[in-house]
Amino acid sequence: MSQDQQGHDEHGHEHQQSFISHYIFSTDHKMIGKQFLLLSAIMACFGGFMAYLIRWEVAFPNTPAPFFGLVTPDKFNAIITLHGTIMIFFVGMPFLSAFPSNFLVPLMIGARDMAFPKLNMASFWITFVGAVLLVSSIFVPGGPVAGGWVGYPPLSASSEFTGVKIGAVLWILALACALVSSSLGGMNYLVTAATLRAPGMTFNRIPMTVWFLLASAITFFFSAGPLIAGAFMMLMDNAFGTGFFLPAKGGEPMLWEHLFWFFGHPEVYVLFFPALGFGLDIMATFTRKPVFGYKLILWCTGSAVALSYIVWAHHMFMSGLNPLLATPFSITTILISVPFAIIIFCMFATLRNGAIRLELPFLWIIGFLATFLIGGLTGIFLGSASADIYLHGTYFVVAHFHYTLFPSVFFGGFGAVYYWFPKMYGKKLNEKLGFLHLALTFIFFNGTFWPLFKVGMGGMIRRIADPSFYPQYHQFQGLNAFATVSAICLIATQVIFLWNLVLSLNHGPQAEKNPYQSNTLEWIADSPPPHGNWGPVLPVVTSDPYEYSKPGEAKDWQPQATNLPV
Amino acid sequence: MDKNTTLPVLGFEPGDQLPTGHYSGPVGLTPGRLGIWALIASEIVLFAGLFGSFILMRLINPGWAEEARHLNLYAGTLNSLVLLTSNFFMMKSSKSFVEDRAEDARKFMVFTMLAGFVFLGIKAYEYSGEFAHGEFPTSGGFWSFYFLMTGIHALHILGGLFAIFLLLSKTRHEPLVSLASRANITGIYWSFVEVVWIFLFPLLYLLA
Amino acid sequence: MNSKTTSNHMAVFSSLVVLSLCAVGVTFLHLSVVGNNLAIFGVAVVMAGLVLFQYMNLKSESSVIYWLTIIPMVLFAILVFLFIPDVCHFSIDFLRGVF
Repeated sequence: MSQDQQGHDEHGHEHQQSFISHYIFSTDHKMIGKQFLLLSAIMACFGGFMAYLIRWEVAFPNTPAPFFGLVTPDKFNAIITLHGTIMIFFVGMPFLSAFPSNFLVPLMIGARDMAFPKLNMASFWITFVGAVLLVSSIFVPGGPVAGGWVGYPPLSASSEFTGVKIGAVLWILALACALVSSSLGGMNYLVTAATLRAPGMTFNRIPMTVWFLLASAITFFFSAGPLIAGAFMMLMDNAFGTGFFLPAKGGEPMLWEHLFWFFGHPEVYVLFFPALGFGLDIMATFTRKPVFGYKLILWCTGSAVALSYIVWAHHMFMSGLNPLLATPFSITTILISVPFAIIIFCMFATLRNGAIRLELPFLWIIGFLATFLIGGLTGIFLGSASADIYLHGTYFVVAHFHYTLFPSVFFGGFGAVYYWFPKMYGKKLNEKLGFLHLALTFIFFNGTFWPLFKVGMGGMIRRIADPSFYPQYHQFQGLNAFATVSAICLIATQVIFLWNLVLSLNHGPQAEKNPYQSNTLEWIADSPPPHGNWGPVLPVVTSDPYEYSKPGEAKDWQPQATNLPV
Repeated sequence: MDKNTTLPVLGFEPGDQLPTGHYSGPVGLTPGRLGIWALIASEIVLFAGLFGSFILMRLINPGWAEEARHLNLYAGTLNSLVLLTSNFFMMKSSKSFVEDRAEDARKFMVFTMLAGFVFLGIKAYEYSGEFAHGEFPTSGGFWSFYFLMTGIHALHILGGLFAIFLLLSKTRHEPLVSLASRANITGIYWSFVEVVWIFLFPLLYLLA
Repeated sequence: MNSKTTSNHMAVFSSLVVLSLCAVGVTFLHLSVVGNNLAIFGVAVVMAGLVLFQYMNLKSESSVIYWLTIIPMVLFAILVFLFIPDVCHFSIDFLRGVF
């Protein structure tokens, strides 16, 4: 990012805007998108470092971790909490939801900016404040809260159990900031897509990326409310000593769990939908084929969104959930795998008979499909209450959700970054380095998390700092060590991307406006698009986003709008 | 391609708030109104979580009915009427915007805000009465919920009052009709705060 | 908005005030628990309906807005209904007692 800023400053004399209003307090959706990208990158460094500490302690307990020192059990609990909260709310949401929605939605629908640009800016800064609050909780007296990212009471509801007071308040406030910011953002994306489409851009001509980003936004803002209510209650418990969730004071801990997971389950689909959207658009572009089953996919997405609100208790099968609820929730959980499976099948069907171009963004999406499939399938085991009795709380769950979240964030998200990078910065990322990044990420990701399935099936419980304390876990030390070494290599591999970024921004060749010959509207704008995105004239949409390889046509692609120079 | 291409034809400079696109939504619906209803939708879910939790805890704690009798019913009823009045004035103000009657618009907004502050004042009086009787948020489940729910509602009232104040100050500089849409939206939000109270009041004060 | 809406505002306001006082009045009738709660809830729904449809003009909005308001209410129902077994500690025995 700093390279980009240096590039801009060379032309500083042409700026009529100050540095502050152009880069810091910008209302331009593209700049806000890049701000979210930068925030998620910085927070990913924190989250990744914590992942390293977790893996180090689990594989080599009671040995000091290089660059940190000894990870004692209380530090371990704080680290896993921070890792979870940071990765989901301050890496996953900004990177997969805020950054693409901000950057892409107005461009893909032919708008000049979001419906509420100032609110958009506020959204970013609220997320930023949340991130600052969370990171600062590391340095306050008492340290960060250590109740897990799920913060189950009674443990996290009172400082007499956690020993942490200020840190708990900061954690809840950070959570609240993230929730409010994403709700406001989601509202912005919804209104923009509903009301600011270019002439001719009917709902049936909206690209899949926009549909899925919208689905993500809608799912989020209908689910955030109960958790905000719960967060207020938890805050009062921690800060004022009330007893919403403390049995000793007449409270009900299960209430928090229900409120949390009522939000928490739709949240994981919020993180997953954008990756599907990117995948579909990237596949269409690189197979030179329309997406298979546009309407079918929309129906499946709609049903997945609807179903996502009635599956949440599968996270609570072992929490003392009323057994009456176990079966209905098992059924709905297994049911929700159907629409997602159909969407994945449609993605495979898009490949069939396509004139496939094996370019980098496409390969990332193939990586996404390969790894997500495993994650999705293992979810079915966990969704069945009876199997979950054994598997809950083990590393099987950890492997499952990393096999779903990581492909979404990394393979899907990086696929999107490599694909839209030329549009964002006018330069292409180096292909060779990109391929190396992909290959090593794929290898080390599987190396890190595949062993965890085995370890989990073997019965190893998660969130334990020192497995050597339990004789029954000694047999897993080898697998754990293998996973840890892979994890360290995985984190190190990301340096390749940073190097690629620096190299390409500074010395990379200028990219053409539409290097992949894609139909969607954003490729018609300049790279990067100016303020206002389009010139004086908005694009007028005359066709589908997926008019590729139309029989009888000379070109195998047809831009959605033809009134502007392509 | 100069990254800072301005749009001389339309007179835009970098940093301008651009008309953000071609309107393609349902006829008669503005982005602003869709936005406020979307916000209201997410707020309804927030209060759903809150009210739902209260209802459930109340179901297993019938003793809370006895606690509820310690609430100041007269103050609560008065507050209901005050808020209704405030809402009424906001509606009249909103209509004055459309009919370009600046005096009326401002007058009614001031009345709306006054009534809003009276509401908060009566609430503060109630709170002080409760504290004097030893009823604090930590005094038990019912009181925790009471203070939390009325507290969050009061925060929404404060937010609404702030929005109305901003609108009021804008009327000094901008033509009234250009603010009519914004007044409508503020009115919708204020009515939503009223709807929350319409359910909050019986839940806390009147439940048997 | 036209003059029809002006008289509308006053009429709606008066109805809301009357309904409010009715709801409070009902509690003094000391009905059964269920009766009392149903009555005040019914009054609340009518009042909310008046505010939503008249003040907030829901009756003349497009269907998108209807969906935006109905979906959260459905979610509210789901939330309360599905939380009950846990938060209220209802069990099979309770069901056996009922049936």
